[in-house]
Amino acid sequence: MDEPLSRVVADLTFAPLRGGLATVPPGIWEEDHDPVVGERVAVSDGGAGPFAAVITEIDPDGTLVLKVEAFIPANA
Amino acid sequence: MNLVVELRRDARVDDDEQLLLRLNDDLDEVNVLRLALANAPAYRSLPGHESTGAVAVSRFAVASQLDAEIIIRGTRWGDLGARYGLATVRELRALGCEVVPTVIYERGVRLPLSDRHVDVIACPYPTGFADYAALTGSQRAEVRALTQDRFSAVVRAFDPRHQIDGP
Repeated sequence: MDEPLSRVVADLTFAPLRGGLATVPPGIWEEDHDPVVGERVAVSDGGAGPFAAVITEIDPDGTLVLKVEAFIPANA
Repeated sequence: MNLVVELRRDARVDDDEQLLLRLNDDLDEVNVLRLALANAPAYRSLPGHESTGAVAVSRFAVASQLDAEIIIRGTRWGDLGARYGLATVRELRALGCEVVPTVIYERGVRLPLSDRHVDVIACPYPTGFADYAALTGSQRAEVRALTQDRFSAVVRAFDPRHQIDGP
């Protein structure tokens, strides 16, 4: 069985874009390990998602830059 | 700080019949609270919340259900059969909430629909804790336990949720 993806919590309604990729502010990463570039994650807010995404960049302030790949059904 | 909250001094929320729109269905109430707690320090800019900040629910003033759907169709959720909730200012004040017209800046950019934006203050950020982003996992869980019931009651004031049709 695949390992569950790390969860990124983000307000997706007005998530700022950078070069077509979503950027997520720091401060709501709640996994036991630090995020790493290349890590595949599930991003969601209070109702939308989760969406599979890959961390493509991490800013010095912790902002995550995400390439969103696909919608993951809630019961997956 | 990435998020800046400013009071809209030219705006008033003084009509109890005024209708407010909450985007999303908020089914994952824990995630919704996590977002609000992470944003709580930005609310130190509001009068009365200078010390700890506030746990707020973001929404928009609308004139009617049709007006609400027009707004939603202007967001990225508009063609996804988005869900939304409506509540009056009276209903929120009956819960003991402050209703504050605000404008939000994220990384220096004024967010869309700011001329309609209103925050419902569910509760102050709990005293005795550092900012949410600086807490350990167990401390974060403690802060959520202190605020979840109150926050969920405010979020659920926007039930029942409605769904707009797809394209």
